[in-house]
Amino acid sequence: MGLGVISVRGFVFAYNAFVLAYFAAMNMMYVSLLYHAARAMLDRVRRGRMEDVDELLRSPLAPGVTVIVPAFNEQAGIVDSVRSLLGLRYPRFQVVVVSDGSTDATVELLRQAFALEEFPRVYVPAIPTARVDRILRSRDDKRLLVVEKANGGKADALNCGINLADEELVCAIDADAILDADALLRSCRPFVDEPELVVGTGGIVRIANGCRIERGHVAEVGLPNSRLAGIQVVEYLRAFLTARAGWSRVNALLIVSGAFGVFRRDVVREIGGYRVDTVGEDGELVVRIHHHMRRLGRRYRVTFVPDPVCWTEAPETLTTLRRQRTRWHRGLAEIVWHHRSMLCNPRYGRVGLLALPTMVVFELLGPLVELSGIFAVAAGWWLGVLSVPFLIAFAFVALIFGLFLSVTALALEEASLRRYPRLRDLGGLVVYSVIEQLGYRQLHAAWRVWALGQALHPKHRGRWGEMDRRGLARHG
Amino acid sequence: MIVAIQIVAAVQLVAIAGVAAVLIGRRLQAARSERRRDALLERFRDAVIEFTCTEDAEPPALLRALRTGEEREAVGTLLTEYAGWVKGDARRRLTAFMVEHRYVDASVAELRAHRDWRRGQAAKTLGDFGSDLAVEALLRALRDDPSPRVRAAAGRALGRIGDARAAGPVLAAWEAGRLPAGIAAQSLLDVGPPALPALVGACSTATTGVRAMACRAIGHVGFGDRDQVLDLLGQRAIADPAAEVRGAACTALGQIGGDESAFVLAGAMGDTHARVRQAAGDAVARLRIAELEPLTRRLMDDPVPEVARAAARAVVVLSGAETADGNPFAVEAAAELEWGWA
Repeated sequence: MGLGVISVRGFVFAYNAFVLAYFAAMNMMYVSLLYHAARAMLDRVRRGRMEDVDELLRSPLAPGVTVIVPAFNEQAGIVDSVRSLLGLRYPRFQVVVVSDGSTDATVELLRQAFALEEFPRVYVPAIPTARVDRILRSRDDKRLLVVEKANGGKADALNCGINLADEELVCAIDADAILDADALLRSCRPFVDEPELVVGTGGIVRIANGCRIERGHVAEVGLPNSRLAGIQVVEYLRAFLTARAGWSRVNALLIVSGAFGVFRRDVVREIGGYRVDTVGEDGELVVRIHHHMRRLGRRYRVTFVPDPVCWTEAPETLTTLRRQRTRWHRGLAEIVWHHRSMLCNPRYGRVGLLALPTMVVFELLGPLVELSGIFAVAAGWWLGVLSVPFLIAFAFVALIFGLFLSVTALALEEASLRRYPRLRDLGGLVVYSVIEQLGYRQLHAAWRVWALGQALHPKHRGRWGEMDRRGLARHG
Repeated sequence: MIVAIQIVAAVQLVAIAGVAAVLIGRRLQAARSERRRDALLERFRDAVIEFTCTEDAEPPALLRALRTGEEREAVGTLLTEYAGWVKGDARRRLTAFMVEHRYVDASVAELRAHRDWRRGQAAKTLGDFGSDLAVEALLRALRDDPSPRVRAAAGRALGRIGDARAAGPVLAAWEAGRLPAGIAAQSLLDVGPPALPALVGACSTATTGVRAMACRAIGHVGFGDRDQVLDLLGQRAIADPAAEVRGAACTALGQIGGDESAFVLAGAMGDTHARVRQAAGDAVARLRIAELEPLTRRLMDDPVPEVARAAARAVVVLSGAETADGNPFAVEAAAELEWGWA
């Protein structure tokens, strides 16, 4: 018995030491990412002063873009979304809405709003997809194409859109998202400047809850009334302005948000489009692009552009948020599993040696270590391995560091883009950064651990949860 | 150990407090300076608009009596803004004013600033001013500046000024990889017909991307010596080793060619690469070369859907919707024609 307690104490002590080391390594990684992100954002601001965003609008060399909108039961906001997309400032683009077996009035509403009629468009499934039932086209605006197909999931709908894309670039966007009017101009700029190098770009996704939306455009930026959505504003800023900007700077960006990303059509077709057996199809596509390009030894770049903004609706209930976050984490696990051959493989350069291992160690397994760390620290205190002052100091540092990352992301936002014009909103974001550390973060970690369990279970692979949509027009 | 952790916590707290203080301080300061700047812009806006829109060569008194650096900067901002939007006499008038009041000199001097973003911003401003007095300085920046961003800004600015002297150096920078392809091509496109010799030269360089982009740009610029340009594009469309270039040359022929391009396009329709066949089909549709109809009709059965679609569009444009003939791509093209989209 005595020996057993000693070995348990030894194990708890060792595990606590591991958690401490893990925590220190993670913080160092985040600080270095922050450094790269800060440089990237500063660079972007300075570069903005040297460029004229409207220049592309006048250029005959601007590549055409096919905007693909996968839609499943999106009647709440689809008409506003499409109207907003058709109003984008860009010289040449088409919009393809793919109704993925919608059972509500999604297509009917579109038909009425845009004078859609059946069109004998030939559908060639270069990338295999579920059955396409009919293709409609707008009499009023030849840029709009609507496809009705059997349900096959978001990735399948995107692939259908890619099959129908006429333009050089494809832009995937969520049906409930709203793009800033010049978002395409800004996100396509890298393709124009370096046409041989850039294969994909992603913009920043922001939370639209609390913003005033008029005729499919964000007319006034504000913070949501819901605390849960408010916390997500901080989360999104941190994810995009710190992580994506940082990884992009070292050309190891692994995720371009499914809500808004632009890719070269030929490259996407070459790799067979989106993978349909994963819920993380957006990240998986980007990792597969890295995999493909590096395997062939081609020069390329997938880049994050911080100023094109895509506004999206954030979940305002814990249930919906839990479904979304478990899905995201399951998606992450699936990406890692599908591309495990790249892990720590020098053939894949920074992606294989740095970005993917970091993703596994700190993103995928991070919540597991965080939660088990809480239990281990508690056990250490109970067994007398750890003193109370140590425990308090450690918890305090962990929380403060999370807060530091969030506040620094706000500082990056303030120094570069400054989309929240009121000082009150800025103060609100600081408060949300604090609240996030007290309960939300731990809950989020628990959901992600749950998602890891789901990822191991075949029943959940490739399955999407439902997202209750209020429709962005109702926010504000 | 506890002491170490406490130190880390203290450092973090100080950092957070510092960042938060900077955040708020910066916001307050920015709001104040923005208010002041907006007020100045409003004060001078009407005078600048009046100067831009009226034929009177004399600038309004308000613009001739600038006292502070801030006032001068505000007027410079407005002049830059409006100079970017107007052409002809109005632009020349604004440019002359900016030269006379040494705005151009000040920006040229900024091209030697230590910080690259200041040099780049100065290059952009000079492009907006549109004064050919800045061309030499911008060419120097294009050739010698160590920062790729500044060179890119200089390349764009040279295009906006539209001076023929820019063509050669822009091409040289492009070929040497010192200027990205898209920026160089756009710059030459902005220079217009005087840049044609440079673009023609670019069609023969060793780099595939440069040749392809040059062909595309020629399609938009047009031609000086029509026969020479069409001949060059024809050679590229048939004999270039890269499919990308052959396709771009066919597209350019579709934009500026004519019936004399039939022979070349007929050859391109037999190309091994789908991209070239598709571009040739598109070109036939644009140029409406009737003699190529039988060949194009055969291309409607091409196994690559994009090629078949382009060919069907061409056939329908050449022979009318009634020739759809059961081919699904032709039915689609006929519907496009019926909907008024051809």
